[in-house]
Amino acid sequence: MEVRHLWKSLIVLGIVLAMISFSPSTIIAPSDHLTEGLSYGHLIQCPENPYIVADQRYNNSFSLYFMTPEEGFRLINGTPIENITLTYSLENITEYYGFINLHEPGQYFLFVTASNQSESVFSYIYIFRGIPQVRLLNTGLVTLLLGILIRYYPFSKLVQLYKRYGKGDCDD
Amino acid sequence: MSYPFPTIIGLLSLFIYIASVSLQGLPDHGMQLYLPIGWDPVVMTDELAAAIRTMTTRASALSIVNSFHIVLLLIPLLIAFNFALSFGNGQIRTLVSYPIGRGKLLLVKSGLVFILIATTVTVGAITGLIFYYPFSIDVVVLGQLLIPLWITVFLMTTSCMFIAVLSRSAPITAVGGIGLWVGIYIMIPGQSIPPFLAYSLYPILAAINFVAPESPGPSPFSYLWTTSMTDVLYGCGIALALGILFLYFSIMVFRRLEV
Repeated sequence: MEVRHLWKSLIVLGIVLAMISFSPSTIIAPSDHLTEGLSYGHLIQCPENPYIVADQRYNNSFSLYFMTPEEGFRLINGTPIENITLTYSLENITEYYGFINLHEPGQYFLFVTASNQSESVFSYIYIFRGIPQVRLLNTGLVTLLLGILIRYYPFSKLVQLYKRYGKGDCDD
Repeated sequence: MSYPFPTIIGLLSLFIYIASVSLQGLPDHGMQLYLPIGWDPVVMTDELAAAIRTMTTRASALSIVNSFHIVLLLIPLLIAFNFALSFGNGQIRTLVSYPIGRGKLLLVKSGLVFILIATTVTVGAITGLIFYYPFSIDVVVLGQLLIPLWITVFLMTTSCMFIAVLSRSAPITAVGGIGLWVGIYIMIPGQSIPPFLAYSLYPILAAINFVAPESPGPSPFSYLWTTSMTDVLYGCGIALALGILFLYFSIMVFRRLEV
């Protein structure tokens, strides 16, 4: 094993990580049949800027609420939606396309409910991870740069200098 | 007796890629709550807690199961073309002439393959989890999945080493190893193998079935028996014992070999 061949491997690893960060992926894609009075809850784990497509079939409106799982437990235990600290909400929408900013990646509880509880709403929600995924891309780029750095930087000189002066047996 | 960096980083990249792609499309059944008006808070609280737990177990299981399918092919091929091939081209003759005992030589060769595969799969799976499901990492769940994985890799490594040392030929090791490990694996869903045997040869399957029973995996195989912790422990124990037996017999055969 030669350390000077390490740069090839780091470049490959960096490219692979950068490639993965560009692959599109869906976090969740539920179609919820919100019949009278029925709501749905979904547990997801998403980055801080997912892309949301929300649509429904019969032209009625519904609402989408993002909250942390702790707030989700409070909601389930009976706290009305007005007293819940929501991370993000899309209220009374018939359709929505766009990035939303949740400020922090993490686990989120998604609460889907009809605006008018006596109506039946057929909602379709798609949540995608934004491309490129920044943390993955950054890790890939850092690894790639490290590989290029090792290839072109004369580390052998540093190693020689260390061997000569770093042993601590000369007066510097 | 060394593996060049390209192999290590190549395998690492492969397993990071596989873990990431597996985690990108995590199925969401079991993580949805059905909330009619007047829902029962107690029942729903339990369901939400179960959903959080399901996310952890399913993400951990999925990040490992696809890599395991690759390992089924990889270990026999690696041993065939790194070790068995060296019988034919004189490398073994050179190595045996060094003042290392034959037993130690075989142990080191097996150990290197084991460490290479076990480490790259583990690091790949954990890296995938860190990138996609960083809030669903539970050390206990990972331990329950990774330790049976390592034991399975150990059993596969030592058995393929045994075939290599007996046959001294790369094609026979490759075909024999793959035939044995992939062959038995394919017979599992048809229930032609008793569960006890399946769990003893593939403890990782017992672990996945125990930790994430509803996890469908990407393959059409579904693991059809319910598993308890005892099954997993028995499977691990028997696999470990079989692995050690294979290692012992490999060393015995290798010592008496004419190179």
